Amino acid sequence: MRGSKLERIVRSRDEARIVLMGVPDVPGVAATVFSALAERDVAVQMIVQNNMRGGITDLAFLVHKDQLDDAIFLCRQAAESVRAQGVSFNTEIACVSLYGQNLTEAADLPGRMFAALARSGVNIQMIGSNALSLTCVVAETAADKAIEALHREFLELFENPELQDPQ
Amino acid sequence: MSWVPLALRVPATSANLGSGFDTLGMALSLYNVFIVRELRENNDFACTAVGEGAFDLTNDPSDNMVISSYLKACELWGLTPQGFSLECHNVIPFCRGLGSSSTAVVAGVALADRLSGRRTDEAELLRVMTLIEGHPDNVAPCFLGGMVVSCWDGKELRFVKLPPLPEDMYVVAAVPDVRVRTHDARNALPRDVPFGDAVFNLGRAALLCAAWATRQWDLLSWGMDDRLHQPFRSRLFPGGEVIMDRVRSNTGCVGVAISGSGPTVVALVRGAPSPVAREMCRTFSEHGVDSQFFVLKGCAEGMTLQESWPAQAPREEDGYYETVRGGRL
Repeated sequence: MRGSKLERIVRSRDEARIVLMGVPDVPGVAATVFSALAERDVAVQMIVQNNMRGGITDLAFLVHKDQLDDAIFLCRQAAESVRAQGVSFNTEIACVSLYGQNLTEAADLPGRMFAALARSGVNIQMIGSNALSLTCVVAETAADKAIEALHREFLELFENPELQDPQ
Repeated sequence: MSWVPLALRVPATSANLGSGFDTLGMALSLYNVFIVRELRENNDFACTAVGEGAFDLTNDPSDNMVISSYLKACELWGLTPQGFSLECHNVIPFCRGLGSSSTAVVAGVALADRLSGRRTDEAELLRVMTLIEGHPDNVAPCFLGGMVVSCWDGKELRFVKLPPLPEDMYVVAAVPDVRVRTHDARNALPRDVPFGDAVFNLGRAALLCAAWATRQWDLLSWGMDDRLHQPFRSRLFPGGEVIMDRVRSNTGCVGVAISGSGPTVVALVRGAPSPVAREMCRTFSEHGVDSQFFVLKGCAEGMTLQESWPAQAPREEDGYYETVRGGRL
């Protein structure tokens, strides 16, 4: 954890996952989808585009559950306009996140997080990371188990701050 | 030989719709795409599959249902099979009651017609599709689009396409992460049904078709009631025995049914779809099963052919990118 600092472990049950499936891999598709969402003020997070295969790709992201009906309407419309194969939704999810500073400098952090979840039998549906957070989307029913696993895994860092050195 | 990739976009289907056991089916706006990338020598095939079910599928052409249906259609029509390489991009959940296998049958038969230049009429294409599938209630709407009433006597097919769903009606399909084996779904059904239950379903199926044909959508909840298969098949997946009653009581839900032989449950919804969808998925969660849902419309056009792939990029003159230029970001 040299050069980085883990500060918090957080769970959120406020998001829904949306996947636009079988999107033609051509310029302008992502602009179409997210411009439409922006027009209705639907905020998105953790946008993930899969590897293209055969000219087709998947586009996944999260929205707040409060904005789900707007998102459903807009994503369906966008999917039709770009001739995507379909859109799937999942509300029974939770985000478990590690928050801190310079987390991308901690080479061992993702591996430790994923291994801790795996040991507890928690399957990861999506992963997103940046310098301030590392987030996994898991089934809502597995959220408590996931949080317990992460607390166990990283307890020593909170109990012994000298193990972390953001400088 | 020069060849422009040929893509077949083939819709999911929901069969039975409650009372219409083995006779009603509706095409939905969720699509498998099958792409013929190149032509090969006669009887020489290659295939790849990505997406739903890819883990269960091999890349062995002899195991591929599109190719086996293609070969069967060629045999029935006395054609020498042109070989090809095929990509299957599957998004319709596999073995969940949304007609995934029917998309392969429809695509295979349509390809046999197209690649041979045979120009087979619609009735014969459907007859062969039904012959291969064994029943018409998925392949008919899959190929034709819309809601289709069909009857099959083992040799011949009769069908009627009903009007499309109204613009404000969604089909919410909740798909639990469990499979119902076809063998179990068949064995769950009774060999005989009480006369009263038969009469019950006869009335409901007739009401469903009449209501749909005359667009009296408020009658669908009655029309979709069933005593022939749903009471037995709902026991085959977690939450199945309670989900229908729970969903039916939601405002906006005008009808609910097990899709095909399950475990997917479909609800016809007017207004905001998310309360119904979340109720369905919450029920599955409470019974220990993960799930996802789709908010679909009826698919009016059925299977479509596209003679280029990938599709064209969105065009600026169609209004794309406007928000980005407007500076909201």
